[in-house]
Amino acid sequence: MKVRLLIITVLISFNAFAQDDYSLSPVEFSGYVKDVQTVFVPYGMEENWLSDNAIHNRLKLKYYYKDWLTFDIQARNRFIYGDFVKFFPDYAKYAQSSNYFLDMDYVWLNDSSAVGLSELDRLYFQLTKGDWEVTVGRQRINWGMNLVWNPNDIFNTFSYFDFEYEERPGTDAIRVKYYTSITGSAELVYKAGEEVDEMAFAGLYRFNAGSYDFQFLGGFMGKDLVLGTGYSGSIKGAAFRGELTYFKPRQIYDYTINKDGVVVSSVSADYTFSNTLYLHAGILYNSSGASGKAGQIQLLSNQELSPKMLSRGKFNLFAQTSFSITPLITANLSSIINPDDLSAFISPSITASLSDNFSTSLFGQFFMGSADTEYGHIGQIAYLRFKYSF
Amino acid sequence: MKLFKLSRTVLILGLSILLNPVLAQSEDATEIVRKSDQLMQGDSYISIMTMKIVRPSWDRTITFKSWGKGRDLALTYIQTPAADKGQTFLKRTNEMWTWNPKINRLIKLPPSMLAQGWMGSDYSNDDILKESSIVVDYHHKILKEVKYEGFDCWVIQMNPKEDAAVVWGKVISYIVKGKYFPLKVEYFNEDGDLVKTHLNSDVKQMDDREIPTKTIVQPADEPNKKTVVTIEKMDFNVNLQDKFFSQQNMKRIR
Repeated sequence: MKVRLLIITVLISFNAFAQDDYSLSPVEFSGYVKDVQTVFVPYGMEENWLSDNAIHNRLKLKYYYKDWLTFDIQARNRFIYGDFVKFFPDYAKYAQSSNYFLDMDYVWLNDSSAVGLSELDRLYFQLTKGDWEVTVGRQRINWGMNLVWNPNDIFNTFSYFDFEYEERPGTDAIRVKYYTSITGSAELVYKAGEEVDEMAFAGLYRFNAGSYDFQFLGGFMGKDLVLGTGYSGSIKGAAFRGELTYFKPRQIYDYTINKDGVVVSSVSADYTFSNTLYLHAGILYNSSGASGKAGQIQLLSNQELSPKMLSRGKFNLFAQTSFSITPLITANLSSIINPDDLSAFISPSITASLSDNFSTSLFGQFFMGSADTEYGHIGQIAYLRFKYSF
Repeated sequence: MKLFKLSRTVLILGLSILLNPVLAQSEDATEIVRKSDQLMQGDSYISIMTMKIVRPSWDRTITFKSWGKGRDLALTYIQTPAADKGQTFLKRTNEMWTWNPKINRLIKLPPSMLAQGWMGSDYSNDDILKESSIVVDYHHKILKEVKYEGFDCWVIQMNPKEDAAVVWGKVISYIVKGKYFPLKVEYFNEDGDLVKTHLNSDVKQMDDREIPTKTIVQPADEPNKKTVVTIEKMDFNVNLQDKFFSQQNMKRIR
């Protein structure tokens, strides 16, 4: 009701904001509805397909109240039913994002075979004055340079496998940013937590030199001190990006593993040919990763992701190619390989635009490898998605 | 503001006297192309355009708002389709960034990505970002004078200068006498084959000048495909500081 009142108030005052022919409405409302049908064929139980369906709605309201003040509220509403809901104990809890400081989610249906939940994953206001920008609330803080593995992304790590969560989770934080130049900035971020081990406080300095973007970051994240750097530029038309972060435990106890700290680094390159063929390759190094059999990734865990553990193995290789078959149909093939235990993840997908705002996609996620490897003995997953944006 | 408008009108009036075809009878080809370029772009501009990609069985429309200054600075904001709304592109000299509001992320785009057609259309990034200059990068010569679509036109041939990094082997432009807008522009590859034609029409008053507001981009070898670019609104020589084209602004502008 309150939101509705706000909208009405704003609509009435709309004309006062229309300064010239080019200005847009101070209130922007958008979102989408999508239906995702999932079929999971678990390893070793190939005859027991698990089928789930999720109806997923996103609502975004952005209010440009003044030149210097904007509000952003985004809600993620999901209704899920099927085998996973039936077999997974307390599925509603699993489906929620657990790593927020404030509770802003609501389970409105918790049945043995269906769950319905809503959460706010963006809720912030932003103040701007000259070169200064202050953002307070649940927001996404994106410090990554690479497109797949981001050791520098210490506030909002995301799982590459959770591709359905396009917007990725936010963080309850306060961010103060100063634009040092047209292509440079410095920022300080404090992430709220109930205790110090759940908080983070770090600074980032980014600048442009010799047609490269560079960045340096430092601070603490949970139990670790962090120091990192990243760059993004190009070589002969190809994008060339890299990130490196060093994590050192703040306090060392007898049981502390990796007492000397952990280095996580990734480098990637991509190139687009004039016929739309796109090639992308990258490598990830994790000093704390296993050099033998890495042990299976926890695909279904809702544990907080960490840039310290982007892989279980010491090395992971990534390769991707995509191509527009027609301007409306794009095919994509991505793969990740652990070269030490020879397990692999392969994901083909195809997306078709059905109209300006309506699209459909078919994704596969195939896991291969022997027992106790990073990607082995998981199973095969297929997703069929229909999406309407407004 | 009023004063500014007035003085600009005076300036345009002055210029139009200078440019009067009766007074200036023997213009050279480069001068014509320079005036044409200035007419279509000005020193700076703000515009809202739609681009419709047309194929025999389907079409898709993109609406975007753009700001530009000189050859080096440009900012574009995608208004529709809904799924891409809010995405911005910043171009500064040879570097380009895009900002994705969905995940709050700035990505530096490599040059190879610029070579692609703009969002799957026949309109290339070079067309949108004006990477090359028809004035600076080409030699110009008047081939002939013809009547085209009811207008007296100069037919001007442009050949790239030896050191210019341009994609075309030859460009032929039909520029209307006295009005300086092109009605038809043919682009040839290095072998001299026609690659695409821009057909301009719907001449309208935009801000202080009369220009064609519709461009049909027609690939030569695929007659059933085309891209239609329409200028919905455009103002020239607007007051834009260089600082307007910043990473800070690409996250705020709309």
